[in-house]
Amino acid sequence: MRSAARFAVWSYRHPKGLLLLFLLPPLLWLGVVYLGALFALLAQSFFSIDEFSGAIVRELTFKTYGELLSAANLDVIARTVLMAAAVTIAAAVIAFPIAYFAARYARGYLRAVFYIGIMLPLWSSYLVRVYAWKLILAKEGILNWVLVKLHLTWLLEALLSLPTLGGSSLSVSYFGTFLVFVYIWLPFMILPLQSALERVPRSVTEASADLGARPWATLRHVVLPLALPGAIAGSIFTFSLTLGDYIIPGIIGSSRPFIGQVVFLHQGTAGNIPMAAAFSVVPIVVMFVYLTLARRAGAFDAL
Amino acid sequence: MNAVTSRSHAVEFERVTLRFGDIVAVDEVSLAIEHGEFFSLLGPSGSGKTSCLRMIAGFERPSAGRIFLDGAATEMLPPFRRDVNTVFQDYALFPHMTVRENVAYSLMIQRVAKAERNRRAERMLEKVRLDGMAQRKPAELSGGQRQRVSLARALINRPRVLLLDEPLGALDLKLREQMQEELKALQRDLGITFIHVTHDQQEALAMSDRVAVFNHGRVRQVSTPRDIYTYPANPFVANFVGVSNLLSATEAKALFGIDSALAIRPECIVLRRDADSDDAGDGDPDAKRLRLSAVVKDVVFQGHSHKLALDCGRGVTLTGVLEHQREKSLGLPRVGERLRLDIDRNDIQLLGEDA
Repeated sequence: MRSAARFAVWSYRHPKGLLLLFLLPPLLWLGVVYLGALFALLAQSFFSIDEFSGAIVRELTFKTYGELLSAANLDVIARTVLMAAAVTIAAAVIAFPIAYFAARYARGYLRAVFYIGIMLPLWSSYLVRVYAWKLILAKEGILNWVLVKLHLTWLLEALLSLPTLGGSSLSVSYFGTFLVFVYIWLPFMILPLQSALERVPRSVTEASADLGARPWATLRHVVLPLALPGAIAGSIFTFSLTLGDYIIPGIIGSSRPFIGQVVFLHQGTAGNIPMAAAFSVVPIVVMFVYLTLARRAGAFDAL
Repeated sequence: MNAVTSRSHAVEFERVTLRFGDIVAVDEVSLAIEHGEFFSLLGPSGSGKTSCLRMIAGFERPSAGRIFLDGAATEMLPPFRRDVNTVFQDYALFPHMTVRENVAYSLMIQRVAKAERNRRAERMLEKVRLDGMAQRKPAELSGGQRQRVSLARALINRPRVLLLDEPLGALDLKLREQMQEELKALQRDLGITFIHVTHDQQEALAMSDRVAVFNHGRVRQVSTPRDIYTYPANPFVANFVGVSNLLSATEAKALFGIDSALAIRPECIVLRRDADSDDAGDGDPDAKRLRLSAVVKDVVFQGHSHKLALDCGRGVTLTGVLEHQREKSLGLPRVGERLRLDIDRNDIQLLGEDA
């Protein structure tokens, strides 16, 4: 009791000491385990591999980065970045009306239904959901069955006959990969968008209408700019999660690989840790460039 | 209160009702607001005054009844088609735009060329004395400055009617009094109809040409500030506007022999000591003055005056006020002292029913 009182007095006299005491454990975790591991990874990418023995040569070199820029690897990077961009845009387009409704109109009971509806899929296993989608999208799957009943098979066939994007069925095409990515990451776009929209006072949109703006003009000049920071926050999730994922394209899609799969391959079967590390640097660089551009474009002005 | 006339008013309410579910926010309100008038909607919170303003702007649609702007029916007009602009209670500035972009917003919507709208925005900003602030963001301004931006933004289009929703509510007292004068001057200068919502009776009395007093969704009285204060139509108005002593018909009968509810302003009660040799009206029931005897129950210092609680017997306690100048000749009464109260018959306000 007495020492507890002494500690209370000490912490009152040294507020900064108390703060340091509280922050030390998480700071150690962040600094050593989290960032430390990241830097260890980055360091690996400056090593190279001996082509004969397969052993890692621990000398600083850009050889691995040179190999990273081979045509085949650039192909993988371009494919992944394009997919991530497409998924992000689609997720934002689908998420916006949902988030707008939730932020503006859902109250009480409806609000609870909204949150559970968004979060429920996150409570089940990611793998189970991905495999479930494989069944939905398969040639004998439920989606195909519905389209047959609706006499819309021609639509699906037209879609699948597109070069590169198509395939013999949705579950082995880029379209399938895209659909599943959008489904899996959608909550990560809805939630930040909704919280951004919730911070827009109703009076601000009323003021826009009051000053002569039609609903579309209000959306364009007031609501969208104010929702943009939320969309950017959401896109950080959807974009970077797509950049790094190796499970979804492995289960659903054409056999052409994405960055995550290549990393998995290099550090597993191939045992080329430096190359795996170099590949992992790509999403970091892409995200850095993306956020810099977003900042330049004024996406964070409304924060 | 007002039948439909052929002459067009700036704004006219014809038996307007607004319901939110089971709640009746506005209950069969009829009003006519003239061109160029400074008109205040005064009432406690929840009395329906803001709902009336929002119906004029078009943010709410009447559940029943009609609203006319300049003689034209408004039921099919969305807010963006109404020649009416609003100064919002929270100012509702666009946080991602600069002050100039905020002020020029309506011009931008009308696709006015950029140079032209910047020029007009600058001129408007000068009018509200915010020149030099054009490049700032709303977050970098004080409350009073934001209020001016909101005003400039609403006025740049020269609307027929300007709606002000508690515009001074968030400002401190000094700034509020200064803005009252500025708003009044601006309104005289522009000749635009101002409709102003407030719960502050002093503000309504100071600024308005006419005041509508609201309670429970109904208009209880519409008149000039002077008439509202001097001749309140009912106990609610008497009590809400200024301070007043309200007496029920029974109390009035017992005290003065008058068979009606009535109100007496504290400043209309003249305090005298019993020993004073002013005998006017003594013993004459029809004399101009009513006379009472009261015991001082409490004396509270209020800066410019003292407030006195005066026990007149028969369960009636009146509030009196002793101005600084009068205190010099009378001396400050002590608690327990007996005073004589003289009240001019003309200062007694007979009240109707409080429906």
